[in-house]
Amino acid sequence: MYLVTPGGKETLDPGFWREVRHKSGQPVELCYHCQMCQAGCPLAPLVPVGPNRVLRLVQFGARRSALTAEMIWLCTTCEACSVTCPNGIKLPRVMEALRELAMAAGLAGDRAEAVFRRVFHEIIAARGRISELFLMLHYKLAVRDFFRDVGLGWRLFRHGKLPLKRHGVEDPREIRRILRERAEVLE
Amino acid sequence: MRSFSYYPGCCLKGTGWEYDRSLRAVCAALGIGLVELPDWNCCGPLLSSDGTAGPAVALPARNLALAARTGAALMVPCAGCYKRLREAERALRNDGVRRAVEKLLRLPCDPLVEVRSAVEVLWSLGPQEIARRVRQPLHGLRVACYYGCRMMRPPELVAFAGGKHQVALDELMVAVGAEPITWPYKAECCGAALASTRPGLAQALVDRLLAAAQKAGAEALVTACSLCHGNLEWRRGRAYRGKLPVFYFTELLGFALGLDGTRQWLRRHLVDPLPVLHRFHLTG
Repeated sequence: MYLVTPGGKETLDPGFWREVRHKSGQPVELCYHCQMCQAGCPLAPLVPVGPNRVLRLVQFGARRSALTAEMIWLCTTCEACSVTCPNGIKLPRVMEALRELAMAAGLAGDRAEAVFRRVFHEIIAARGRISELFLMLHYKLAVRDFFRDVGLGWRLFRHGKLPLKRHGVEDPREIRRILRERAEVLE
Repeated sequence: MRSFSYYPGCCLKGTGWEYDRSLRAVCAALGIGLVELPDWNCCGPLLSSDGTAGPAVALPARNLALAARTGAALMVPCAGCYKRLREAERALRNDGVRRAVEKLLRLPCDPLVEVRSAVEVLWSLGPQEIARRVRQPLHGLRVACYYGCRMMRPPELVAFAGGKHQVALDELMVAVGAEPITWPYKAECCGAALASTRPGLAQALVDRLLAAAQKAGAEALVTACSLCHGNLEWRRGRAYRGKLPVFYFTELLGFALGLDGTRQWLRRHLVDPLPVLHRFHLTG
């Protein structure tokens, strides 16, 4: 079976929705497209494939279309969708699961949001806290965007909003250990 | 005097400086003790918790473990951090998860510490208690209280006092004599981290909020989250330059209570709030 998309024919994977359900812990099969999520999502008007359409792609098994949908990277976890879904689907968790699957499949590319997350967690691992000036410098360097926010950055700096001193926990190794290790839930 | 462990979060040392200072000043004036939690760590705002004992729970839970030693509840000003710490608190209520997290942290998470937002703590004093200490009522100041997303949803996680989380900022503004206006976007997301990765999209979201606030007759916005404050101030289109300044609710409380240092807080804003306040007498 295949889906015809603007990008061409996409072969469907009938097991995909189960994979997403398992990974996200959300009952994606229950979505009947009432579009409450689409109506409430602040990003929905700004993207071609909004929240319920992403779920539709998951239900169809259109793996590639789902994992390359811009929506999964733009979700801010505002939960306007979660609180209105009649089936109790927490869409931000579905978006998170799709982001992880996309990264694992090499489909995240150099998405700004993926880079931002990576830089953010590198800094937490390094110091245990975020110092905003350094977060932005690291991020801008990583995405090679040197000029866009220079004016804003300078104004923020002049207003005392970007201190040069970095802060952090006493022993960041503790933090690295927490980020690295997974714990089995003890019964 | 009620005393709290204080979790400022990463932004309040930088872009949210005036939130930190105004909150400390207001708490001191209202008899609320704050002791900054030693060695607190980032709450991990971009991690998402599914309730299992991974880093998404363990990272914020470390703060709860540290707070457990202090014997005080934890007060959290930033709405983003508040939601993350509440997620960790909720996950730790499951004994299996708590034991696994304690093993990972090598710290006990017992007793399980209460996590309270700065909004809740100040609102809980009661409007009369605040109103009677107001030296300068902010009469005629029309404000749009902007709650954003993380202190509003989901209610089973972030609500307090049976739904009062949805009106607490408005009630605090009434207590200091200001006029909170009714408007439809009070709980709409500001775009959060999209301000860094997709500033054009963030601006579209912010402009929609500002347009609605302006249409409803607001002179300024009031918020309780440093990320929202930043987005509303810095990621706005040219049409809103110089208009609709954005206050932290604690700044307006501070002005109304006649506290010192208020000018210092104002100076940090990128959208100058002085024109909106010129009718009032600023102390400090």
